[in-house]
Amino acid sequence: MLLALVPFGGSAQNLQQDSQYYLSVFTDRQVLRVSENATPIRPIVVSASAGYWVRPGIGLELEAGFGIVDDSIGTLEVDTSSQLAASLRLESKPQGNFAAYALFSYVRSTYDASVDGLNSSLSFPGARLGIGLTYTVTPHWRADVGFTHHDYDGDTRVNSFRFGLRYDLGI
Amino acid sequence: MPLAALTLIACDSDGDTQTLSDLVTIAEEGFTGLVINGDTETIIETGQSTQLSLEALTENTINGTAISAAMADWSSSDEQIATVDTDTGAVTGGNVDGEVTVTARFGNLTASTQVRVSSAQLVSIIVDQADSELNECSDTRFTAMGMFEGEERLRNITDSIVWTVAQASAAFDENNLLRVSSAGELEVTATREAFLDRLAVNQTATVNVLDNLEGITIVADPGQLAVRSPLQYRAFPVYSNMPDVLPDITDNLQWDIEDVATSGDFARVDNTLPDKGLVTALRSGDGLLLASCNGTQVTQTVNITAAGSGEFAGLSISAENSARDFPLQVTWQGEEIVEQLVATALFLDQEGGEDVTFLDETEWQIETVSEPGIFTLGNDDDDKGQLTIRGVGRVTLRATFIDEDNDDVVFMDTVTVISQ
Repeated sequence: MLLALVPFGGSAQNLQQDSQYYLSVFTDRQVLRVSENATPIRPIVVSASAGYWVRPGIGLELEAGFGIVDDSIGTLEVDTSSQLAASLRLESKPQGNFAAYALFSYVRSTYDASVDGLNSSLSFPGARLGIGLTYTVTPHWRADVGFTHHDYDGDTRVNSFRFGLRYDLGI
Repeated sequence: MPLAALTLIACDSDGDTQTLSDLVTIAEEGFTGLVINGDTETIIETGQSTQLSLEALTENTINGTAISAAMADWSSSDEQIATVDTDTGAVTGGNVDGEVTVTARFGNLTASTQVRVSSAQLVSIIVDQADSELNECSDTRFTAMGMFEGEERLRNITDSIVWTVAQASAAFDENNLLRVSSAGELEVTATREAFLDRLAVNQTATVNVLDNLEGITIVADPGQLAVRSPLQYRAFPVYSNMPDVLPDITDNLQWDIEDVATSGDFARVDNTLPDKGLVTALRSGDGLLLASCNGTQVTQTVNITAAGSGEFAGLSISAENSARDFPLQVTWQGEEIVEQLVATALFLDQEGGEDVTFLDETEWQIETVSEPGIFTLGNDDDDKGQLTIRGVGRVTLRATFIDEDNDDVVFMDTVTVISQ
């Protein structure tokens, strides 16, 4: 599987060789924990990204998203107001309709935490690692499932389960 | 797409992650408010420090729950009058007399208290004790009230007092709790030590300890004593003048274990706070647990049995924090090298499988050495198994576990370390 993530070289058969740009939309079901034993917070975030293949199998992308489902613990409500990321995408050569990828991202997530009418806007910058699979639906469209892990300061961490669609331009 | 465009603005997230962590704690625990120092005014002397306490309130309780003051961020309204450690809540009087508001913030909760700083001189101390007479083998806490020049009201200065007792039959522990054993009179002295230009002030009070301990009852916590599965035993007194009063006096007793002859050194009991009465079995067997107070005047003995086969299966030496095999090879680069070696005992568990226990009673010896003076091997409590290397050479070490009952060698292992 790891070998499959090694970016592939140029090939006439590669979709990315002809399509320099790609667009994606996806949702992340996040599981945010502030410590090992703390109650998890599970917001859902929808995001869009625009990417550029600098060479086959190596893409750079920008991502922006916001929360569509918030979560609460007692009187505390947590909503993802924004999630911005810059990522390096390494994607394998397709095996049949499937390709594996890894995402190395720098993320800044902003959460709105509300307790008894008092609101706090909390920003967490940090690194994120993602892995996943894409499935070629049509020459332009790919379905994407993946998992990401963010580690922030202290014991705060976010695991996220992702589902999305990607559209490759310019074929 | 230029890479520079991928730059995101970083910000200080450490505070934000802590804030979210605090908010989650507050939500999980249902905290609705904070109270500092029981909502009473705090008065401190110029240059003196005191630790403010913090309690969290919940909706359905009247009394707050003590929480660590370090969980909050602290601030002072006027740092010339008093400063407060932002992390710990320790407040220190400044050079100016006056009153400040000290605020604690924990998540979305805040609380404030008034702290008055006064340069008035301490004139005398009044030692206050809850009971005029103490029970034998009990413990108690004292309060010190200070009388200050020009003030009518007494101030509680317990936090700034050093407590001592003249008699050897009693002692203050590190939490200023007086633990007493034998009956008789005690002289307890409260001293506010000298600081800055202030002289020391002290006051002595006399306390009577009753001769009323008739017996001790030992009770084990739920569970079973087994090899490497410690069990806490607790002691409760039988007082002649108050049969219904049963305070836990575990921490005030002397604990010991006598092995039944055939069992050997099968268990030990902790005699240091905060683990007094904690019994750890080294192997299966039977023994007698003794709790005594006031010398040997009152002793209670119970039979204890440790389950599990507890049979030794072997002893092996390994290098701490290292998976390297022996002979262990190290490279001498002109600097002293320290390798911590660990002896590991294998016990047979109840199912006959092997399990591991680290042995701190192992004897360590150098068996052979190529160059005298290059290798030093520690065998004291604080450096057992610590090999210090000061040059190039080869050494063979031996760790031995000896049965204290009959001085028989139970198991031993030898390893070689090469410095090159």
